[in-house]
Amino acid sequence: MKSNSKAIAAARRTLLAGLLTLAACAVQGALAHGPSRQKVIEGVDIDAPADKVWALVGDFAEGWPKWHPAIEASSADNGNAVGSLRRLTIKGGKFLVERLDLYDPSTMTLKYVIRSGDALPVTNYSSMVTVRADGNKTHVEWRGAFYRGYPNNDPPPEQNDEAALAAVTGVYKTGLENLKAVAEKK
Amino acid sequence: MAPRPRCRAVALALVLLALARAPGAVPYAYITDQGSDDVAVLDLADGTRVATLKVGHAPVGVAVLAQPARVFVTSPESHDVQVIARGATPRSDRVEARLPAGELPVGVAVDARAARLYVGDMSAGRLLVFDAIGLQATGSVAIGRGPGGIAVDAEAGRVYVADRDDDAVAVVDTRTLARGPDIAVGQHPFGLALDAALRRLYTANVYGNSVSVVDLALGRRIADIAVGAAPYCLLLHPGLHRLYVSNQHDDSISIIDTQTLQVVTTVATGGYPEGLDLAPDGNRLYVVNWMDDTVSEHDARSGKLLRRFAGGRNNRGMGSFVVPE
Repeated sequence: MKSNSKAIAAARRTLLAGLLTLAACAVQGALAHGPSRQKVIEGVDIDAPADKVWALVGDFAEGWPKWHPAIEASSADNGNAVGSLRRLTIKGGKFLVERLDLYDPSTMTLKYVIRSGDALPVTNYSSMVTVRADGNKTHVEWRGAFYRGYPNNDPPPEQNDEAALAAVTGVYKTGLENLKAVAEKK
Repeated sequence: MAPRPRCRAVALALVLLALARAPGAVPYAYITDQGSDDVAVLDLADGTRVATLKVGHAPVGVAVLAQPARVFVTSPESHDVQVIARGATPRSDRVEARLPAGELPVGVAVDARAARLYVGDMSAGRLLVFDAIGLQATGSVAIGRGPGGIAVDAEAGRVYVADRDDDAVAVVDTRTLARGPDIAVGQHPFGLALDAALRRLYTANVYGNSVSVVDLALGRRIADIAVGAAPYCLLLHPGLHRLYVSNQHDDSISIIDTQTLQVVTTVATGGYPEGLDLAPDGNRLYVVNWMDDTVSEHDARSGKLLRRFAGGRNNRGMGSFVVPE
């Protein structure tokens, strides 16, 4: 009886291993990302000096929860050094791990890519944020390039190009709106 | 006495030929707009858009054939290749055929001498071959995973394909379509450029941030050159011994001296530069900037940015897109 259940458990393990191998093969055969790269470019004019805005946006490691309403917490393994990985906890429990690829305080520009996470229905996401002084005011531009979440043809609606565009546009718009509100606060 | 109609036709043809070949004639660029399912035809004298041709869904790759005057365009999301027949002027261009092209056609190249068209099916990992005159599929061969750029080596009777997801270049015999041994290159190769004079092949390695140099006689990589972030397309200027590299994540091009294999300069472009091509006289370089929907014109020698033209939505221009005079 006992040896019988052991045999069943072993058979189950073998079956599971086989299924995982099959799944891995299926993933291997698939594309790394969807067919067409998408982009979103959003900007905002802020009635505050650029230094003040950069102090918020330029703190890649820990600063974004101070202005982005969807981000609950942020921590990074190497501060604002290029290559640093930050983990963003999104309100509602989802997360993103992002890597800082360029950090240039002289031009107030940073670039980052998403390395993993479940908060956005996208793949191969890269992004750039630039802060540009315009007299005593500031213009911020946030742009992103990415593919939809579903890599092959005929994506489900929640993982198609439109879903990816809507999600990223939402993140940028709500973020920039609140950045403006926070930066313009006296 | 009035000339006979046949003579008149010949005379007219000669006049048209003379006009078409007039020195200083202005080239046109045929640039794929992935976001609006069309090809924008730009007059490179001033960047004016002179025609817009509706093609398949989400067009990316483009290749030009001089005779007969055709432009081939890959549309990955409608799984086909559009054949544009060029008229006397771009306004009389028309899409004359659609060729079914597997699951996800992206890379495309023309072998003018053999009148052949090569298309890479990125999803199925196949190289598809078409008769570029008769517009018929003539064969296909399994290559590696995620084929991107294609380069035709007419002299050696080979075609090279960047197998992006294998970090390798596939080598295919153009006569038998037999696949030879792969050539290992840097990480995630996409763009290719053949240097026929130096018997070399270059690959742009998107994840490696480098360009691999392959010695075709040895059949292996002999160097990796560090360039900008996410290099994508390559273009060789044989006369100047320059290799142009579009660095997508750096909004720049690197210019490599192919004799010293050193980066001589890095020049700012528009956002997310991709496709590269030269004016027929070799003096101007055109860069298609995907992020800001522009085409930038550069001095081919110095790389200096000269002008910026408005492009189409999500323009890519992956391949040869400037038509000969």
